[in-house]
Amino acid sequence: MLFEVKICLYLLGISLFYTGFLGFLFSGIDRKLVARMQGRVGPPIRQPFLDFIKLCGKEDIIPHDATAWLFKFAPVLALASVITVMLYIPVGFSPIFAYFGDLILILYLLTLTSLAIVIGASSSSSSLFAALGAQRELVMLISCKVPLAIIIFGLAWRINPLVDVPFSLLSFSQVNLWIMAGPLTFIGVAMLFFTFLCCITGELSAGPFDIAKAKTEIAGGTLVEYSGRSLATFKLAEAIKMIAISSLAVALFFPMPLSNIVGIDGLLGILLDCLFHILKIFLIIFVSISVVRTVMARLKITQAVRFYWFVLTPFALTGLIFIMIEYLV
Amino acid sequence: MAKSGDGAKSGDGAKSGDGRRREIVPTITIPIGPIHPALKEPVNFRITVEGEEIVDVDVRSGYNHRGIEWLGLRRNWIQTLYLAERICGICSWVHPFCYTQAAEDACNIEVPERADFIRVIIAELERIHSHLLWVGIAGYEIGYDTILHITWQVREKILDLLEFLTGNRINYGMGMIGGVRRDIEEKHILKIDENLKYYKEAADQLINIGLHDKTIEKRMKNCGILPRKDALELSILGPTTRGSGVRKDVRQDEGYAAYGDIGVKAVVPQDILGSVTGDVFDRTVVRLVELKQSVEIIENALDMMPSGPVMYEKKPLKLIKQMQKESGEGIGMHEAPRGEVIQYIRADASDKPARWKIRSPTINNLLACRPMLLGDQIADIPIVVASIDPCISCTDRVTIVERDEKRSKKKEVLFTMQELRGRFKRKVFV
Repeated sequence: MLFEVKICLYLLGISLFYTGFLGFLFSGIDRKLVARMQGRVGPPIRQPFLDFIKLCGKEDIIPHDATAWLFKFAPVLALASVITVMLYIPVGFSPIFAYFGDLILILYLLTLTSLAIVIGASSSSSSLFAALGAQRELVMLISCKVPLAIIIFGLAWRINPLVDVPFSLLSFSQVNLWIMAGPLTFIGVAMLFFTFLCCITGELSAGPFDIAKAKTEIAGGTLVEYSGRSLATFKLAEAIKMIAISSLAVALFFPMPLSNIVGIDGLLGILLDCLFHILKIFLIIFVSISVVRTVMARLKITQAVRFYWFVLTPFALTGLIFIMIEYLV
Repeated sequence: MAKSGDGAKSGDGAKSGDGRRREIVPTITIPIGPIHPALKEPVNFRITVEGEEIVDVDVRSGYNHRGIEWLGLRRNWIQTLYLAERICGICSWVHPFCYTQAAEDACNIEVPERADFIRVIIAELERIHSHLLWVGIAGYEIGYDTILHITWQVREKILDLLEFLTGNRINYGMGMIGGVRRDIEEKHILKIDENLKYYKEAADQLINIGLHDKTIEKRMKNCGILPRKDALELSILGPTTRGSGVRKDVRQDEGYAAYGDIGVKAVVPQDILGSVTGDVFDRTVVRLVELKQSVEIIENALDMMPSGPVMYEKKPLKLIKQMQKESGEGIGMHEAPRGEVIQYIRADASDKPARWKIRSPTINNLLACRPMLLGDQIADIPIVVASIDPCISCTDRVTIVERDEKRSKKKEVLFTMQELRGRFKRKVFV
């Protein structure tokens, strides 16, 4: 085997273990926090790990009418795309493929994860509830991506004159969005950040946007037919996706490392940055998932689309206009 | 109960001028139940949808038939009372209350006045716990788990109070033909007062949440609308009909037990909100305000409760002996948390009832699901079905087994309970 391919495989393995661990840890913490806020004791923080291990040992049941290879392939596709996306997003230190990918690739890979769920649920499981779930997942995908794209393209446009490669995530660590111009830009960036937080909730289908997997409505929706290792793979992919998208928020809006300020270099510095990054994504996950999940009911699909297209999209555009005014005038 | 649901597209579902769209969008039929996360008990809804819109609804019941009436006719008066208590776990006071009233009516037994008041107090305490349970379930159905956990925490206190009063949390064992089995003493009254204070505040808070929470409003307003006309025509009962603006409440209309002395007025949304839509939100508001009303009824009952005996006859055997001499018919009724329960009993000069008929509110209210769901979205199904507060174990009096030979090649065979027992014995013990 080629040396480069070997290296790539090692890196993928490391990425999988690190982000998988973080993802399960955070979903455990999220469950515990929500439980405490609801006045329950809640499961132990290690529960997602235990669930994963147990699912891995269970039988993988494929429905009678399902297209077997597609049904089995979908979770692998979902996992592969989220691990790949983690190679382009900084998690405390600069990403492994820092000089190859850009924001559009990241958006594409994040979409691929949702599409993998749709493929597995709709075209191959032959279940009515899964098909309904897949429909809803697609609608969510379409509605959620509009404000997200506005944020990313708008910000890339704004930093274009300041850096060499505007669509690279590394460029965002070179400029500080918040203080690059006057107060109007600050407000605009804050509005975009709020929009991004709402998009995280929708992308991870948490709380009010838990529409595709609505337990009481369509009995678990997209994942209703999955069991055993395939379900475990999906769970792992979803946990990593949570880390990926919150890391993306950190990389766009709060890329500032701690090691420069404190003045520690080398391995210790990287470790410090990693811990700081974990703290940042924890705060983002807490605000955009745990709290929202506790204080809101699930919306209907029409209400969710209306929220993203007719509330959040104009909101993000207004934020963008604020930034533009100060830049152009 | 079960209509023939094979004609999936019925006339009511189709809206005039919508014909062209129907040809393009294919309809699919979703089975909700008998086992589904939105349902707490087995009942089957066959729902035909176009995209996300519901165009036809069919209800099938009978998955929880246990032959309670049949069993009751083979036990004596007192044993049947215990059976009546076990018809349902949530309305576990409703059925014995009704049964004792019917039996007393049939056998001409006088109930002491104090017992009537104690019965009312237990009934209202049960209404509080049942409505709190319902609010929790409604929260769960719309994906608002916080409401579920908080209301059930609040509900825990009333279960403790009921245990203190009666000795049990769920099946109270408080009823007796011709009275109640335990008196409410001074120490009980102190504890009740303390709890009522707590529940007054809790009810105010819950009403506040229910009226002003944005997401609750988004999910509950303008869905599952039951017009006043439909509510009257289908003779819908309880909070479901009151939510449509019909002033129907057995406690107000009949004044049985001590309700006549206390005076109860039906809670309707036009008094609270100013207008009636008949949607899920109105039904929720009615239930929340009824929490407060129940607290007031208990307070009044405690004030007005006269002293005296609580039982007509303390010795059960003597009571049965006396009932053996009587023959006649009796009706018992009670406004359960879900609506009016009626029980009919015929006494035939024997130690057991000659006929026992139970009519629970859910059997009427289930029919309301069709007008409520038509035109709504799939996402509304759980909350709309939950909004009638269905209690299937109370409802199922009969099971219909389909024997359509065209459809299934295998012939279905019906067994009686005795045959089944026989088969079981042969297999296991021989």
